[in-house]
Amino acid sequence: MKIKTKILLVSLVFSFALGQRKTNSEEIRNIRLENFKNNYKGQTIRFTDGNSRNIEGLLMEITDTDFVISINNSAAFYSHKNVDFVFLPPVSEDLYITASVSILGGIAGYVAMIIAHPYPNNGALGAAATLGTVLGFVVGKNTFYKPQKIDISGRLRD
Amino acid sequence: MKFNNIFLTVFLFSWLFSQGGSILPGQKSAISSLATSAGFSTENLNSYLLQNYGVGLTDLTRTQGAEVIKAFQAGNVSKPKSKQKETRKTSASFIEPGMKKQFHFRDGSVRVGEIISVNDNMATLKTSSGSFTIPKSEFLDETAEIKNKKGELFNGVVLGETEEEFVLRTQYGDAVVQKRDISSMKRYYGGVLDRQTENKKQFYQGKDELMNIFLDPTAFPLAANTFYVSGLSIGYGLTDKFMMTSLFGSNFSGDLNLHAKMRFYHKKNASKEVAAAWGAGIHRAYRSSGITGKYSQAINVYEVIGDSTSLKGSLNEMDGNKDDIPDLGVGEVTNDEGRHLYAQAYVVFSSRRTNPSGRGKVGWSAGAKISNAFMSRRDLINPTVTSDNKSYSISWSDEAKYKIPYRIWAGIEYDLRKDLKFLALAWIDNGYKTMDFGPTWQDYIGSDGTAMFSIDSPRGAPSLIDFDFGMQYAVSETFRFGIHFQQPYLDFYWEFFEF
Repeated sequence: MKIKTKILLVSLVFSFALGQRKTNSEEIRNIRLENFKNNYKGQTIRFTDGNSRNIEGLLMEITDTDFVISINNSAAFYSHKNVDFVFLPPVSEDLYITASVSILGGIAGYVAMIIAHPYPNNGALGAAATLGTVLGFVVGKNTFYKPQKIDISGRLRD
Repeated sequence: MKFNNIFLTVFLFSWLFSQGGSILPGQKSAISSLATSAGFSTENLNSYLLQNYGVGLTDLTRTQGAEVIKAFQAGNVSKPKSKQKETRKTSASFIEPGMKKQFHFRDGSVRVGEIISVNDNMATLKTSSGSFTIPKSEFLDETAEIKNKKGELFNGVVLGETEEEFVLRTQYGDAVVQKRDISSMKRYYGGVLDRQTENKKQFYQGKDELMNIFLDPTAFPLAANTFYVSGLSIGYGLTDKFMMTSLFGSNFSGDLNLHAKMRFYHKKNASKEVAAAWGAGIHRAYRSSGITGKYSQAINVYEVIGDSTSLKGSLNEMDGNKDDIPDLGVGEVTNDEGRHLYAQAYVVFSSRRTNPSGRGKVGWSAGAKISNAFMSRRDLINPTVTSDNKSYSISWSDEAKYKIPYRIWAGIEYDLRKDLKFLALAWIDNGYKTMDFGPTWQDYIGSDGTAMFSIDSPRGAPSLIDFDFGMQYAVSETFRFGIHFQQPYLDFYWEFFEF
């Protein structure tokens, strides 16, 4: 077989193999980045960059290649090329809600005790209220005080 | 004898052969009328005869006709099942390497895997059970119709699905629809809405997004521009965060009231939604007897004997059914039968997340409510009343549990199916009394002397810590019906979108 024919055949095979149209993950990633920018611009984000460093700061902008993050009032550029997930750390508002759920738990413990026992002593009241507060805190923390994980990869399925 | 033998033989044969002749008009008519009575259409009857005798009604023999009549008379004939129209399911419009998802096939099987390669008309699917080379035409098309909250409608092939999004290939390009923005969606396999999958296996969320668990609110308000009517109230969602409701039963009895709910905290992603809301309500002319009735267990009745008093029990126990127990009603005890301003306020926290099984969502809510019902409460009751020539002293209980009116609740919701929710609620309420269905119904229709279309009866047994559970069924996208085991027992709720 002539060398030209061989080259032609090899090219044909490669062009066929590479020509299998993959679902355009880059397109999906770009849409996700755009959505992410629209939803979370101005909020504090956290991610692990390509050098395995944890970065946390205020999201100012997303360019084609970088996150523009404000850290200590100065802008820094971090490539998002190898970043698949971004986290939104809990903020003070989440802490207030967690504290409110905790207080609600404490009140529930207190009133449950005064209903269950007409004249409870202070120790029993304190124990019931503390138990309710702790339970409320655990539930509140697990529900309201957790970082949100946002997928910005181009993957179609988990 | 010879002639007789010949005659008898000929007669017998002619009779026998005559039985095999064409069906008689009377038989046809009898079969038709019997078949009609048995619920057969002409088509059903013909298919039955073709299946069993290979001929239609007019081509039956008399014997067969007799058999059919006997069978109909004995009730041995069952209606033939109509052949279901076969729907030709459409094949996947494209199969590409890299597609990783749950694939549905023409033979009804479902496999989860990744397309490794596509050559000509064959695709190699790698699954955890091995690699399969399958003709592309066997893959069913997976499409979805997704409507988001802005009203945009996306229709296309499902390319992918993550916790956050659906990726669709529409006619005009790829679209990424964030799940948190989805208002409704339908999924099709092979062009056919897969109701089994939709309803019984996996669904993004139930039809019903609860604003209340029974009578207690969640932190999720009504959608904007939506009106609802329930058995006790009407309401309107002014924005996605703020809604107003009113108890129409009280309105009809002169107690105009408005209740607001505002969600002040909200976070949502595809798998989880958390919120907190406050609510407040005001009644311009709340009846005093409504308060003494609701909190009758907090009103002590003492018999006055000379200079001393003897505790008889709480007001709700004063039914006169036992010796030494007077028959005292709320009307006799309430000092001011007038009406006054009544207000209540609450705060509620809610969370909803995707069920790990993929079947809808699970969620919880917890909240606390207080009111001004005990403001100047001493003025609401008569200090002494007389019954059967005996004098009774009336006073509010000093117990800590009756210092302020409160209700604290925690409830869960669980999607059993797309149209069916399990609900459970537990509460601590110093004004709660449990009632059987009969008195509850009388209370609702107002035949017990209280306002119609409201649950405010002074009757019932106090139950300060209690729980309830039940089901809520979404009859349609807009109408829900619920049943549970404490008053009001039955719930219904009708929504009008874009009102």
